[in-house]
Amino acid sequence: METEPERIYLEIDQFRIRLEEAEETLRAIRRGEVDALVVGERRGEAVYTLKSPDRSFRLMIEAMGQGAVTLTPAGVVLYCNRCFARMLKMPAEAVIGAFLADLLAPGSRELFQALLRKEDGAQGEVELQATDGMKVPAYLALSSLWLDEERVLCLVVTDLTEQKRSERIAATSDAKDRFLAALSHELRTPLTPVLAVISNLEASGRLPAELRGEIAMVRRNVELEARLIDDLLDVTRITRGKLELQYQEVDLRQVLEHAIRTSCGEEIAAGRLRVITEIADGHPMWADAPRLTQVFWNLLSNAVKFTPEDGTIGVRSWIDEPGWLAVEISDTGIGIDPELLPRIFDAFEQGEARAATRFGAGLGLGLAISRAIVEYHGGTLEAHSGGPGCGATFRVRLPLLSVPAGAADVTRQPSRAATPAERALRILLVEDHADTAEAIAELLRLLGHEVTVALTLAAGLAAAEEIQSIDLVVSDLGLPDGNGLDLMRELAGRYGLKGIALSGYGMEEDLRRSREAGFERHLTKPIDFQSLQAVLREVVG
Amino acid sequence: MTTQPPETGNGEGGELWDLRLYVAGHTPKSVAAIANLQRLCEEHLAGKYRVEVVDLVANPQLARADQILAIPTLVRRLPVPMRKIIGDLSNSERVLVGLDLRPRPA
Repeated sequence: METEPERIYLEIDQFRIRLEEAEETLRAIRRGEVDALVVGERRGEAVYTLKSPDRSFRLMIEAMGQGAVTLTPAGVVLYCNRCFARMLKMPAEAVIGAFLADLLAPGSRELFQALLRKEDGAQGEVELQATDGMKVPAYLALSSLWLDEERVLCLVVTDLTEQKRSERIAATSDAKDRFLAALSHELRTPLTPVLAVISNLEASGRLPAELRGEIAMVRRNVELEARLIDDLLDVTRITRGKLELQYQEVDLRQVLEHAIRTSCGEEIAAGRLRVITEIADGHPMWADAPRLTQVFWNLLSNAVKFTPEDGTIGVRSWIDEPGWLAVEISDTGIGIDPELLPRIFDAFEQGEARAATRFGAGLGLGLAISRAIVEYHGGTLEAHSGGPGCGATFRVRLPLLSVPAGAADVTRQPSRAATPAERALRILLVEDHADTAEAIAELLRLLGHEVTVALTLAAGLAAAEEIQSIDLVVSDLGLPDGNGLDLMRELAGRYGLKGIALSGYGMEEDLRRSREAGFERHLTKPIDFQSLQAVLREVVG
Repeated sequence: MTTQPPETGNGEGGELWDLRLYVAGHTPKSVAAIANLQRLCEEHLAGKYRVEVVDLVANPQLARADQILAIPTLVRRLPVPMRKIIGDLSNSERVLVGLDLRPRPA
């Protein structure tokens, strides 16, 4: 029991404490140490915050998509925004007051301490240690700031999780492309001497008549395999958006005629198929001629493949609307199931294997590549069919080059006659694979040129030194004692020589590197007779 | 209460310091108070304190328990007697005195 004086004494003491508290509150408000008040309302307490004029900046920092943190010079978190707390999966209250180093993965702490010691503008990549056990890759940018005469550090934190993920995907995709390039190289190397020897035999006229058919069959199949490998390379280029086109002014009529000759020349000659052409003339376009040839070759080869004997293939072109040329390739063949029609260009998509197999191997890739090439040219490729047994029609639309009237004659290139009578050249051939070297040399000699063969880079340099009057270098890129690119740089620098690169690698990157080394052209193995002849003509004129 | 001997002022004796900080969301003074309190506790009460941060924006009814008026407010719940320190705790000297970690100036 309290005595009366004790009770009074206690009451006075409690009044004193309340008074002190009231004074303390007023003092804190006056000194600006308080920025919110609890107000008793009818429905209970409510909190009113006192807004300062810099509120909008504070809101912005709270809402921004990067972590914003202020630190003492020793690395204690004074403030962090919501985004940073989210990265760590912690409430902001728990982050504030912690040593930032303790919020990092152990492997990042030393780097962070080093950043802290730097004067200003320190930046680096670390891993945050989130409370759920995940490590969050993040980029830190530190800067110094004076706040009320005290130095603090501002830290902007960028979450790199997404970026790292896409980098990983890109790296995987790169590895896949490199593997494909290496694989196609391995697949192609043995084809080179085979194709060269066959072309050589066919061109020499030494073949007995009874073997010609069989040898032609061997050549066709080797060429087919080479084209399949080319398609594989094109797929990697297209999926990565890295198909590089060499645009020039092109007359589509020549492209179409060339495609018809190479795709169905034999069928026409043998009378197995009728090809009706109705091709508009004199319509220049800005295009990559070999790539467009590939498109029409693909479409025509499909038409040949799916049209029974005695059928008809039509090739028609016309001005579809001003500025657009349409080319239609139609056949009387087996047609396309309407269900499959929308998907026949989707060879790159998963789950479309069925569509491709219904058409036979090769078609899937060819149509997808063709559509991609046409789209690179700003055009469209569409397929129509009345259904099974009713034939198919493929329509390509391409934008025409707008040439002012009368200018066409001036810009037109003089057409080169495909005459075998060419100037005899002195050619230095550098190729380490002896069989391939001999086959290519034989081809070149057949064209009337004089060929010196070198099997190594050193031998190539020595030969160039010895024979002063070399017109052209034809070199493999992978040599046992070095690189064909280095050889070309040396020969172009010393003697101003022109060169053609031979390589199993035909990726854009490879083409670019050989251009940079001074090669005028880059031929991808296997080398066939026609393309070698054409390139020689282009390079030496 | 005043009949009890005053606190020793250095936090000896191994007793737990139970502190509660009332804040209003992330207002600058609330955030500053959290940071200041963490620093002071690490410097003066390392290993023997517990801080509970109460956000009154989220739960305004919790203001009633300790009769909170201005925010931020720090409440020393243990050791008794209860003490309140109002404001962002930026003046370390005042806070230490208020918590009885320093003797009151005469």
